[in-house]
Amino acid sequence: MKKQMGLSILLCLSIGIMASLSDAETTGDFREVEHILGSFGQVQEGAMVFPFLGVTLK
Amino acid sequence: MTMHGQNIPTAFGFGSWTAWKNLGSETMVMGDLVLLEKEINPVISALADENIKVTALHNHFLGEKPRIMYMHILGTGQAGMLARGIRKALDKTATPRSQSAPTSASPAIDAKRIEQIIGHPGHARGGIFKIIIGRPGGRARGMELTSSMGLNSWIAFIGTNERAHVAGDMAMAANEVNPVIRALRKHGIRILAVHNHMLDEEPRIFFLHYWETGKVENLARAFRDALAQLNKQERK
Repeated sequence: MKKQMGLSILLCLSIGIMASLSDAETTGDFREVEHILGSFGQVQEGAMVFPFLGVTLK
Repeated sequence: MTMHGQNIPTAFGFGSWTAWKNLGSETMVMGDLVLLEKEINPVISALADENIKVTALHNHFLGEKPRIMYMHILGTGQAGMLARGIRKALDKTATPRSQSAPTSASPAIDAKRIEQIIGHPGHARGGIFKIIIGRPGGRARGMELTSSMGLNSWIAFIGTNERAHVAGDMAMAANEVNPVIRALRKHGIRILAVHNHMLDEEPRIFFLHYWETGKVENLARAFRDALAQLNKQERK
Protein backbone atom coordinates (compact mmCIF):
# COMPACT_ATOMS: atom_id res chain seq x y z
CA MET A 1 0.00 0.00 0.00
CA LYS A 2 2.79 2.37 1.07
CA LYS A 3 4.74 1.43 -2.08
CA GLN A 4 1.71 2.27 -4.28
CA MET A 5 1.27 5.63 -2.54
CA GLY A 6 4.94 6.36 -2.97
CA LEU A 7 4.77 5.57 -6.68
CA SER A 8 1.68 7.77 -7.09
CA ILE A 9 3.40 10.70 -5.38
CA LEU A 10 6.49 10.17 -7.52
CA LEU A 11 4.34 10.12 -10.68
CA CYS A 12 2.53 13.34 -9.67
CA LEU A 13 5.84 15.06 -8.93
CA SER A 14 7.25 13.95 -12.29
CA ILE A 15 4.22 15.29 -14.16
CA GLY A 16 4.49 18.57 -12.23
CA ILE A 17 8.19 18.94 -13.00
CA MET A 18 7.64 18.13 -16.69
CA ALA A 19 4.83 20.72 -16.89
CA SER A 20 7.01 23.34 -15.19
CA LEU A 21 9.89 22.64 -17.56
CA SER A 22 7.54 22.90 -20.52
CA ASP A 23 6.18 26.25 -19.22
CA ALA A 24 9.68 27.56 -18.63
CA GLU A 25 10.72 26.56 -22.15
CA THR A 26 7.68 28.31 -23.63
CA THR A 27 8.14 31.44 -21.52
CA GLY A 28 11.83 31.57 -22.38
CA ASP A 29 11.10 31.65 -26.10
CA PHE A 30 8.45 34.29 -25.79
CA ARG A 31 10.46 36.53 -23.48
CA GLU A 32 12.69 37.22 -26.47
CA VAL A 33 9.60 37.94 -28.57
CA GLU A 34 8.26 40.28 -25.86
CA HIS A 35 11.58 42.09 -25.75
CA ILE A 36 11.75 42.55 -29.52
CA LEU A 37 8.10 43.53 -29.91
CA GLY A 38 8.26 45.82 -26.87
CA SER A 39 4.97 44.40 -25.63
CA PHE A 40 3.79 41.78 -23.13
CA GLY A 41 2.02 38.65 -24.31
CA GLN A 42 -0.91 36.88 -22.71
CA VAL A 43 -1.09 33.08 -22.57
CA GLN A 44 -4.33 31.87 -24.14
CA GLU A 45 -5.03 28.22 -24.99
CA GLY A 46 -1.36 27.30 -25.25
CA ALA A 47 -0.51 30.27 -27.47
CA MET A 48 1.12 33.55 -26.50
CA VAL A 49 -1.07 36.35 -27.81
CA PHE A 50 0.13 39.93 -28.33
CA PRO A 51 -2.69 42.42 -28.82
CA PHE A 52 -1.54 45.80 -30.13
CA LEU A 53 -3.31 49.10 -30.25
CA GLY A 54 -5.25 49.70 -33.40
CA VAL A 55 -4.35 52.06 -36.14
CA THR A 56 -3.47 55.57 -34.99
CA LEU A 57 -3.27 58.49 -37.36
CA LYS A 58 0.18 60.06 -37.37
CA MET B 1 -11.96 55.42 -36.00
CA THR B 2 -15.45 56.26 -37.11
CA MET B 3 -18.14 54.22 -38.81
CA HIS B 4 -21.05 56.10 -40.36
CA GLY B 5 -20.18 59.12 -38.21
CA GLN B 6 -20.01 57.13 -34.95
CA ASN B 7 -16.77 56.98 -32.93
CA ILE B 8 -15.74 53.34 -32.63
CA PRO B 9 -13.42 51.91 -29.92
CA THR B 10 -10.35 49.95 -31.04
CA ALA B 11 -11.69 46.82 -29.33
CA PHE B 12 -14.56 46.76 -31.83
CA GLY B 13 -12.23 45.07 -34.33
CA PHE B 14 -9.55 47.63 -35.11
CA GLY B 15 -6.68 46.11 -33.15
CA SER B 16 -3.71 44.21 -34.58
CA TRP B 17 -2.64 40.99 -32.86
CA THR B 18 -0.20 38.13 -33.19
CA ALA B 19 -0.44 34.65 -31.62
CA TRP B 20 2.69 32.56 -31.07
CA LYS B 21 2.94 28.83 -30.57
CA ASN B 22 5.99 26.79 -29.69
CA LEU B 23 6.14 23.78 -32.03
CA GLY B 24 9.26 22.30 -30.42
CA SER B 25 12.07 22.85 -32.89
CA GLU B 26 10.48 26.02 -34.25
CA THR B 27 7.79 28.60 -33.53
CA MET B 28 4.66 29.44 -35.47
CA VAL B 29 3.19 32.93 -35.48
CA MET B 30 -0.18 33.90 -36.91
CA GLY B 31 -1.75 37.32 -36.78
CA ASP B 32 -3.73 40.12 -38.21
CA LEU B 33 -2.25 43.56 -38.87
CA VAL B 34 -4.63 46.52 -39.08
CA LEU B 35 -3.25 48.93 -41.66
CA LEU B 36 -3.85 52.16 -43.44
CA GLU B 37 -3.77 51.79 -47.23
CA LYS B 38 -0.40 53.53 -47.53
CA GLU B 39 1.16 51.10 -45.01
CA ILE B 40 0.30 47.92 -46.90
CA ASN B 41 3.25 47.50 -49.27
CA PRO B 42 6.03 48.67 -46.92
CA VAL B 43 4.70 46.13 -44.40
CA ILE B 44 4.62 43.31 -46.97
CA SER B 45 8.27 44.02 -47.86
CA ALA B 46 9.36 44.08 -44.21
CA LEU B 47 7.61 40.77 -43.54
CA ALA B 48 9.06 39.15 -46.68
CA ASP B 49 12.59 39.99 -45.49
CA GLU B 50 12.08 37.53 -42.61
CA ASN B 51 10.06 35.04 -44.67
CA ILE B 52 6.75 35.86 -42.97
CA LYS B 53 3.91 35.12 -45.36
CA VAL B 54 0.83 37.16 -46.14
CA THR B 55 -2.15 34.79 -46.15
CA ALA B 56 -4.86 37.36 -46.89
CA LEU B 57 -5.32 41.09 -47.42
CA HIS B 58 -8.77 42.63 -47.44
CA ASN B 59 -11.42 44.78 -45.77
CA HIS B 60 -13.34 43.77 -42.65
CA PHE B 61 -15.56 46.87 -42.61
CA LEU B 62 -17.31 49.16 -45.07
CA GLY B 63 -17.64 52.89 -44.57
CA GLU B 64 -14.96 53.21 -41.90
CA LYS B 65 -12.83 56.33 -41.74
CA PRO B 66 -9.96 56.24 -42.38
CA ARG B 67 -10.05 53.26 -44.75
CA ILE B 68 -8.56 50.22 -42.99
CA MET B 69 -7.21 47.01 -44.48
CA TYR B 70 -6.47 43.76 -42.66
CA MET B 71 -3.35 41.75 -43.42
CA HIS B 72 -3.34 38.16 -42.13
CA ILE B 73 0.12 36.69 -41.66
CA LEU B 74 1.81 33.35 -40.97
CA GLY B 75 5.41 32.60 -40.13
CA THR B 76 7.35 29.57 -38.95
CA GLY B 77 10.95 29.50 -37.80
CA GLN B 78 13.10 30.85 -35.00
CA ALA B 79 11.02 33.01 -32.65
CA GLY B 80 13.50 35.87 -32.51
CA MET B 81 13.74 36.08 -36.29
CA LEU B 82 9.94 36.13 -36.63
CA ALA B 83 9.63 38.79 -33.92
CA ARG B 84 12.21 40.98 -35.66
CA GLY B 85 10.24 40.64 -38.91
CA ILE B 86 7.02 41.69 -37.22
CA ARG B 87 8.77 44.52 -35.36
CA LYS B 88 10.16 45.83 -38.66
CA ALA B 89 6.70 45.57 -40.22
CA LEU B 90 5.04 47.38 -37.31
CA ASP B 91 7.69 50.08 -37.49
CA LYS B 92 6.36 50.87 -40.98
CA THR B 93 2.96 51.62 -39.44
CA ALA B 94 1.36 53.97 -36.94
CA THR B 95 0.58 51.00 -34.66
CA PRO B 96 1.70 51.88 -31.10
CA ARG B 97 4.01 49.41 -29.33
CA SER B 98 2.02 49.08 -26.15
CA GLN B 99 -1.17 47.12 -25.68
CA SER B 100 -4.53 48.78 -25.65
CA ALA B 101 -5.02 50.82 -22.52
CA PRO B 102 -7.96 49.41 -20.56
CA THR B 103 -11.03 51.60 -20.90
CA SER B 104 -13.08 51.72 -17.74
CA ALA B 105 -16.27 52.78 -19.52
CA SER B 106 -18.58 49.80 -20.01
CA PRO B 107 -21.29 49.85 -22.64
CA ALA B 108 -24.72 50.74 -21.26
CA ILE B 109 -26.30 47.51 -22.41
CA ASP B 110 -27.83 44.48 -20.73
CA ALA B 111 -24.94 42.03 -20.99
CA LYS B 112 -26.75 39.33 -19.02
CA ARG B 113 -29.67 39.41 -21.45
CA ILE B 114 -27.27 39.11 -24.40
CA GLU B 115 -25.55 36.11 -22.80
CA GLN B 116 -28.96 34.57 -22.12
CA ILE B 117 -30.06 34.92 -25.76
CA ILE B 118 -26.79 33.77 -27.32
CA GLY B 119 -26.10 31.09 -24.70
CA HIS B 120 -22.43 31.92 -24.21
CA PRO B 121 -20.64 34.12 -21.68
CA GLY B 122 -18.98 37.34 -22.74
CA HIS B 123 -16.77 40.04 -21.27
CA ALA B 124 -16.77 43.83 -21.14
CA ARG B 125 -13.46 45.43 -22.06
CA GLY B 126 -12.33 48.58 -23.82
CA GLY B 127 -15.83 50.06 -23.82
CA ILE B 128 -17.45 47.11 -25.60
CA PHE B 129 -19.21 43.87 -24.64
CA LYS B 130 -17.92 40.90 -26.60
CA ILE B 131 -18.72 37.20 -26.90
CA ILE B 132 -16.14 34.95 -28.58
CA ILE B 133 -16.94 31.35 -29.53
CA GLY B 134 -14.09 29.12 -30.65
CA ARG B 135 -14.38 26.63 -33.46
CA PRO B 136 -12.55 23.42 -32.54
CA GLY B 137 -11.32 20.93 -35.12
CA GLY B 138 -9.27 23.23 -37.34
CA ARG B 139 -5.66 22.31 -38.06
CA ALA B 140 -2.81 23.77 -40.05
CA ARG B 141 0.54 22.05 -40.63
CA GLY B 142 -0.51 19.35 -38.18
CA MET B 143 -1.14 21.86 -35.40
CA GLU B 144 -4.50 22.52 -33.77
CA LEU B 145 -5.82 26.01 -34.51
CA THR B 146 -7.35 27.44 -31.37
CA SER B 147 -9.70 30.33 -30.80
CA SER B 148 -6.74 32.41 -29.60
CA MET B 149 -5.18 31.95 -33.05
CA GLY B 150 -8.22 33.47 -34.71
CA LEU B 151 -10.43 30.45 -35.32
CA ASN B 152 -13.60 31.80 -33.77
CA SER B 153 -16.89 33.59 -34.28
CA TRP B 154 -17.54 36.72 -32.24
CA ILE B 155 -19.92 39.58 -31.69
CA ALA B 156 -19.13 42.96 -30.09
CA PHE B 157 -21.68 45.47 -28.80
CA ILE B 158 -21.45 49.19 -28.10
CA GLY B 159 -24.22 51.71 -27.39
CA THR B 160 -27.44 51.24 -25.46
CA ASN B 161 -30.16 48.58 -25.23
CA GLU B 162 -32.38 50.58 -27.57
CA ARG B 163 -29.68 51.60 -30.05
CA ALA B 164 -26.62 49.38 -30.15
CA HIS B 165 -24.01 48.81 -32.84
CA VAL B 166 -22.67 45.31 -33.40
CA ALA B 167 -19.77 44.01 -35.43
CA GLY B 168 -18.16 40.62 -35.62
CA ASP B 169 -16.95 37.58 -37.50
CA MET B 170 -18.45 34.20 -38.29
CA ALA B 171 -16.00 31.32 -38.88
CA MET B 172 -17.68 28.91 -41.29
CA ALA B 173 -17.09 25.74 -43.29
CA ALA B 174 -17.81 26.18 -47.01
CA ASN B 175 -21.25 24.60 -46.78
CA GLU B 176 -22.22 26.92 -43.93
CA VAL B 177 -21.42 30.20 -45.71
CA ASN B 178 -24.78 30.78 -47.38
CA PRO B 179 -26.97 29.48 -44.53
CA VAL B 180 -25.17 31.95 -42.24
CA ILE B 181 -25.53 34.82 -44.74
CA ARG B 182 -29.25 34.12 -45.04
CA ALA B 183 -29.75 33.84 -41.28
CA LEU B 184 -28.09 37.22 -40.76
CA ARG B 185 -29.92 38.90 -43.63
CA LYS B 186 -33.28 37.69 -42.24
CA HIS B 187 -32.53 39.97 -39.29
CA GLY B 188 -31.36 42.79 -41.58
CA ILE B 189 -27.68 42.44 -40.60
CA ARG B 190 -25.28 44.05 -43.10
CA ILE B 191 -22.70 41.64 -44.55
CA LEU B 192 -19.41 43.46 -45.11
CA ALA B 193 -17.04 40.76 -46.36
CA VAL B 194 -16.67 36.99 -46.88
CA HIS B 195 -13.20 35.55 -47.44
CA ASN B 196 -10.33 33.37 -46.26
CA HIS B 197 -7.90 34.34 -43.50
CA MET B 198 -5.53 31.39 -43.87
CA LEU B 199 -4.14 29.37 -46.77
CA ASP B 200 -3.62 25.79 -45.64
CA GLU B 201 -6.06 25.12 -42.83
CA GLU B 202 -8.08 21.91 -42.71
CA PRO B 203 -11.01 21.95 -43.06
CA ARG B 204 -11.16 25.11 -45.16
CA ILE B 205 -12.62 27.96 -43.10
CA PHE B 206 -14.24 31.13 -44.44
CA PHE B 207 -14.81 34.28 -42.42
CA LEU B 208 -17.80 36.57 -42.69
CA HIS B 209 -17.71 40.11 -41.26
CA TYR B 210 -20.90 41.95 -40.37
CA TRP B 211 -22.20 45.18 -38.87
CA GLU B 212 -25.58 46.53 -37.86
CA THR B 213 -27.35 49.01 -35.62
CA GLY B 214 -30.54 48.23 -33.71
CA LYS B 215 -32.04 46.94 -30.49
CA VAL B 216 -29.67 44.78 -28.47
CA GLU B 217 -32.08 41.85 -28.21
CA ASN B 218 -32.71 41.74 -31.98
CA LEU B 219 -29.00 41.89 -32.76
CA ALA B 220 -28.25 39.12 -30.24
CA ARG B 221 -30.97 36.94 -31.79
CA ALA B 222 -29.46 37.45 -35.24
CA PHE B 223 -26.08 36.20 -34.02
CA ARG B 224 -27.73 33.28 -32.21
CA ASP B 225 -29.56 32.25 -35.41
CA ALA B 226 -26.35 32.53 -37.45
CA LEU B 227 -24.50 30.39 -34.91
CA ALA B 228 -27.23 27.78 -35.22
CA GLN B 229 -26.16 27.28 -38.84
CA LEU B 230 -22.72 26.09 -37.72
CA ASN B 231 -22.12 22.45 -36.99
CA LYS B 232 -23.00 21.96 -33.34
CA GLN B 233 -20.13 19.48 -32.87
CA GLU B 234 -17.67 22.13 -33.95
CA ARG B 235 -18.87 24.70 -31.46
CA LYS B 236 -17.02 25.19 -28.22
